[in-house]
Amino acid sequence: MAHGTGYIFAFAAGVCLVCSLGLAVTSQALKERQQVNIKRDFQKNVLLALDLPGDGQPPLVGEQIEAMYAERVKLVVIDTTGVVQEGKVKADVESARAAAKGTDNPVALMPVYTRVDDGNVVNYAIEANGVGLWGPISGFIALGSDGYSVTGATFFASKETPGLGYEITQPKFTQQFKKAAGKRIHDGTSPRGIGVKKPGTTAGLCPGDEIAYCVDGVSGATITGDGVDAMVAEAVVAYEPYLTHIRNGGGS
Amino acid sequence: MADAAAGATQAPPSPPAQPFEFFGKKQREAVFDPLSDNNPITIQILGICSALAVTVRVDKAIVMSIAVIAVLCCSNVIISVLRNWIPNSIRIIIMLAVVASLVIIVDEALKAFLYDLSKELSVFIGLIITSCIAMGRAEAFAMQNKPWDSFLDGLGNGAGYGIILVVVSVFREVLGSGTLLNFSVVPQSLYDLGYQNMGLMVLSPGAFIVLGLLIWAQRAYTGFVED
Repeated sequence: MAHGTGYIFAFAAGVCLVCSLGLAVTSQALKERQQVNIKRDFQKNVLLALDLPGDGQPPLVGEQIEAMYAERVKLVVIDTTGVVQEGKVKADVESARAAAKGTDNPVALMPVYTRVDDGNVVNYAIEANGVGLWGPISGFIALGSDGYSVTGATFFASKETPGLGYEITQPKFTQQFKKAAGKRIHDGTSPRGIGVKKPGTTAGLCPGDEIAYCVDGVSGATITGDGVDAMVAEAVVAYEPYLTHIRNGGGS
Repeated sequence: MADAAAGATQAPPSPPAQPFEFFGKKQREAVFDPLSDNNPITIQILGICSALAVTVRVDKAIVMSIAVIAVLCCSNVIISVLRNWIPNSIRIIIMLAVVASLVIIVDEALKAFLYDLSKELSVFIGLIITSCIAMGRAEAFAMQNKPWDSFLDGLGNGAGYGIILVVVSVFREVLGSGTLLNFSVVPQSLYDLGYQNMGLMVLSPGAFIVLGLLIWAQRAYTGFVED
């Protein structure tokens, strides 16, 4: 059936209007829920890196995540020389990061997520940011109170390929950073990153004590693995001044 | 009068008035044909892109299938309801707008209610927009048929797509990762004997090979030959 030009324009405009209205309503209606999800996902990852609630415990869901986070995690903000900046919050870190974006300047403020047991800080989770195959990746590397040993890690890789690069967020990869695995980020003289190696070659490439600085990557996700490798190496150098304080017993 | 006559000659011959059938022969065909004889993936070769991408694990394949079924049913119904008003010259654009809006709504809903899965599926839900299935069914079926029939056609094609996705993902997950729905199915004793997971199955070529074999097997069974 033939339609006049005016009808075609009117029909197209009508469809556009209805579609955009539908999308706007959906987006507004679900926004709050989505933001809660994003926040909880972030908190859950911090908690997992800090080994909370711990092995064998049922995973936290919903409000339990926020409650546990509020109770056990304390954010410490440091500057590039490792000095603790009192009174700074996560938003300050984010704006510092935004300010440094696109420049060669280091990010002025960095977050340390500390696990507090009975008033004592027992773990420090440092944040690493890098680039994977398709987009940004990031992660938390938790360190013991000695400032050398790795006790856990979690990674974000929302842009990476499901089944390949995305696998770095899964337990199979992250459990290699657990305390029992005995990984380290410092060899006593200088900070060291954690090398992500081709699975099966790790023993050969990292003989003897070197195994403390190597993990198995994910087959088929070499570039994502290299991204993890690079961002951890960068993070341990950036946090080195603060970690030195901790090692000298000056931790907060 | 002249206008009316011209309009009458250009109008498609209206089908003879039929009583509304809830689940007659035509409706059964709309639902069951796509499951095997006219499967969207293995016979119509539609939606191959996402079939390759989301079949690494069975759970993702299932969620993807549900999302496609939802989008396909809704888009078919909407297009079918509008079919007599949609100007022919812009029908593809209209279909695309409808499908794209629905996909975004599904994506937003996943982010709100199934956040972890939506993180893993991220880009692939969006890819339903470009997947040929939704457009293909809107153009081939919904533009000519009533809403209820179109709904069933969407259901059938979505399910046909889902079946293939799940079958391919079962092969890929078991052979590639040694798990099924994230539970280990390959016994440790087999690994001790030197068995290894097939890395190829996790990568896209693994999907190509499984899908190719599946298309071969199904066409041999149904006797379908390309024109």
